[in-house]
Amino acid sequence: MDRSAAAPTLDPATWVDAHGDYLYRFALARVRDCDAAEELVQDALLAALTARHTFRGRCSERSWLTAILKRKAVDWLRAEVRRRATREPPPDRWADAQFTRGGKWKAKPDEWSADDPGREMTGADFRDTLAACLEKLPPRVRHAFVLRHIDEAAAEDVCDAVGASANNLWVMLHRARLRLWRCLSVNWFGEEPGTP
Amino acid sequence: MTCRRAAELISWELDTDLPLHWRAGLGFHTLVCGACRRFRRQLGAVDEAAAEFVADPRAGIRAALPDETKDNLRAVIAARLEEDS
Repeated sequence: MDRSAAAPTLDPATWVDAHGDYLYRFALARVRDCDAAEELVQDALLAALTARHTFRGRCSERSWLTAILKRKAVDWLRAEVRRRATREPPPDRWADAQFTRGGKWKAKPDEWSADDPGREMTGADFRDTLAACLEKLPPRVRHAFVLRHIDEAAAEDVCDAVGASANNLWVMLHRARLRLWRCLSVNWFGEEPGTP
Repeated sequence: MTCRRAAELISWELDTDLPLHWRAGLGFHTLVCGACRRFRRQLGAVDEAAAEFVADPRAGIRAALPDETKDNLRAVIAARLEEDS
């Protein structure tokens, strides 16, 4: 069939085989929960089926399905962050332990050997390391961080979405970054910050 | 300004425009504190890499949708298409 001249059309009967795994990975990368990812893919495909008459062919079938799935994933992340919400961020012993009582670094950030060949922050090995570091974040902190980066909304809108005060959200994002930074320093750059 | 506070501001400036007095305070602190200067550079790189990772559909995952789920979905979609035709 020659589709080059016509706008792309939808073929729901082939969705599962053509896009199922792709969509599942897309969801899994964001929610990091197999059951939730499965459910999101099912929800998204059924929603797409219902809405298929609104498809105008301005993007590919896959992009269209992915956009629907992304909205579902954002909703899921928001609900999760909100469900786990507390009025005040709970104290974080790990983050506190990075600094002395006087607020100085206990272990000072050290230079990364970023110039070493093979230590660039790209490539499959780096992605695996980063994925493992993301995995280690406390769930709510991770969800907030992922949401911040896929939701395109400004941080202030994310606050409303997750029912957190701006301060609460920033504290969560800071904790997420601090942990990711430490995790990559140790596991990718192979340095315990502060060692000479 | 303590390094603890500077680290918070370094993270927050990735999310929002800092008010001028914080920005000025952070600017001065990083001028005199090499550790926080490094942290600022490294945290920016971490955030950028993580943002790219999260935005990339491939995201280093090789999992597949379980077969049972696929079968169910195929059946549900086929039934719906049948209904609608």
